[in-house]
Amino acid sequence: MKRSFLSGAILTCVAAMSANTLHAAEAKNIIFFLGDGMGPVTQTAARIYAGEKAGLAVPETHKLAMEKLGYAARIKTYSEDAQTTDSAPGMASYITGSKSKNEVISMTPDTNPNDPSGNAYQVNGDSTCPTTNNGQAVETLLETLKAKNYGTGIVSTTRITHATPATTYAHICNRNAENTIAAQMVPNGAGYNTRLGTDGMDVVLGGGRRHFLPTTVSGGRRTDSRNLVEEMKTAGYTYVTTGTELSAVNLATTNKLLGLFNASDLNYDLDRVKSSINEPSLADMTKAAIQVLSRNQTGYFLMVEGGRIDHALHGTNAKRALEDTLAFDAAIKAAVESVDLSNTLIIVTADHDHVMAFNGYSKIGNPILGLMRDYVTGNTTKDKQGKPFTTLVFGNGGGPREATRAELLEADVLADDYLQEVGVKLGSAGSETHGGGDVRLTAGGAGSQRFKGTLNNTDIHGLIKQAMGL
Amino acid sequence: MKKTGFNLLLRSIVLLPLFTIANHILAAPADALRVEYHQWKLGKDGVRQEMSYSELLYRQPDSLWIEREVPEAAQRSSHDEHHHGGLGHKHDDVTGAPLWIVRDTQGKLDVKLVDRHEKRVIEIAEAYYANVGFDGHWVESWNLADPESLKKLKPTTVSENGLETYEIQRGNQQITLVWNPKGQYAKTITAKDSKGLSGRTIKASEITSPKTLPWAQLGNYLSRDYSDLLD
Repeated sequence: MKRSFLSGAILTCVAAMSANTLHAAEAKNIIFFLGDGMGPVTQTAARIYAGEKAGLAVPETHKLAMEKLGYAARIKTYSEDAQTTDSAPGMASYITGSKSKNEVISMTPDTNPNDPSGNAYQVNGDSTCPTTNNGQAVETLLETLKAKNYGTGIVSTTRITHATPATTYAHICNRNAENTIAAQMVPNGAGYNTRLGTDGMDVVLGGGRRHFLPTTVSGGRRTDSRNLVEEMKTAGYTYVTTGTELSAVNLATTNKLLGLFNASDLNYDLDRVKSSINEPSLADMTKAAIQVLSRNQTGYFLMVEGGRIDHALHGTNAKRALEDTLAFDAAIKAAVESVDLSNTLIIVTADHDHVMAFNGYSKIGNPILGLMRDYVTGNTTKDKQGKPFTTLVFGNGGGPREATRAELLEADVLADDYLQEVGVKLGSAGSETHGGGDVRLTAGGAGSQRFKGTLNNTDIHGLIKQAMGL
Repeated sequence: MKKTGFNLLLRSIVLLPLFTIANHILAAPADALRVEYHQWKLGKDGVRQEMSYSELLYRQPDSLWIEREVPEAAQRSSHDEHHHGGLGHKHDDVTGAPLWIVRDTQGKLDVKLVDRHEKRVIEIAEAYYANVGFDGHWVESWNLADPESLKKLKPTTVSENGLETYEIQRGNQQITLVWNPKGQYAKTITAKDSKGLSGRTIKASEITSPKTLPWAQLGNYLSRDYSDLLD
């Protein structure tokens, strides 16, 4: 009996120590960077493109900020019902630790986005999800941390109601019900997600104003006559709509910040810079969010999405995809420079790949967006039609309206609007698909040593919780 | 008699340009065209690939409608494959959907894609022009060639009905362009490379304009933008 008691006490003690070891908080803060659709080829191409812009003799040697983080893993991205995921379950897997079906936002795996006939459970942005017998909400990392009084923020270049940001704060069976998703973030309003506490998230920066405004307002799409911008202001949020306005906010005294900089998605970074559009860069928004959130003594959760990488890839427009990837990387660099890495965990990954391929045997230093040139001769390589082609091509996609291409010239393929050639022609604009291949994850800062090997996307949720001692 | 003959010649020289100018001033450009595109390529494997399609153009001075002719069977096949409803992003298919381009007095363009099936007019911002197959060039789209560029060239022939033929060498491409000055459009453009490995033909013919222009039939269409086609 005595022996048993002693053994039991030792076991209990070891178990407690073990638990303490597993859950010792190394990271006070977590910044989760999600490059939407930023597969390995996009990352490699962006690295070379950045090397070219930096004037390196060998651009291939360049390192992106995301590649300077100390740990790397390979992530399996399949969803509950598809080899190739869309952004909803792709991001939700990271943020909830649970797989779900394509199109579903942070719900259990049994949730369906469509009725048995295949009709979407949403009409013009309003949810028609059944309230019973269609799955349950799954707690997100943001909600877990909110309940423990951490600061919470989301930043995106897409509509803030779009799939990736929505997975952090909303639960819904169909991602396209963006009016309903917007209502879930408004403290104490109808449809509010009460898991966000009494006061809601602290920082919300992105696009998607149209889902906050009623149809009676120009560009508004809300069919319920509510003006969620006004409701958010009433709930205590400082509201801004331009880059200039954001830079004028006194972040040292602002506790609740809402920025909606476009009716829909923010502009591609290429166009934002070239046309001097008054929208903040992703780096500007990230720095602002960190400044607000870092005053929380408990710690904070910040999600930053480079959301338009995906859109440019859907359009087979490699140049805009690479420019947006570099804008995303600039945000990562800004975060690394702004935070204390001894108590902050930074994770950078993607929700899924695309079907952009890096093809042929191009000569070292050849412009990544240019025509392919043979590494031995340096001459333009020709296809069987005797025509030159680019290094970056797509496995499928819509491509331009014109049925076939003319003879390609270097100036054509380096132009902003050049659309890469596609293998399988899907026809419609923007119809290039996601890819089912693995993506990369890099991690740096407190607790980052856990992120290595080949992991399932659902593993990341648990590893972050471990790093944060949850 | 000789003198009279000279006078007649002189008159004809003087009057011909006047007649041409009058035609330019008085005749309205063709307001509806059917344009057939055909291209072919011969590969080094000996395989010849050909492709053809046609489009309808409805033209007003500051409005242009471009609509691909999609045979009914092809339309039905496409629609059978896809599920429709709301703003579902996965199954939107606007392949060959009409483009409606409007030019304002400052020359600024407003480009829209018309999704008849979902009854949506989709606003296309400049960054997405290429995705819907518009190169941003109003004049070339409206006229099928740039008349200002042609003014710098001398036609090799002018037919009795005023059609002007231009022979243009561009790189290894030999281009023959027949311009209809009255209708203000390129009637034919034929291009082939010097090695005979590829060629391309565009043929335009005037058609009767519909009584109600297509852009006047969009009253109950939803207003959307390109982001609605993305996921």
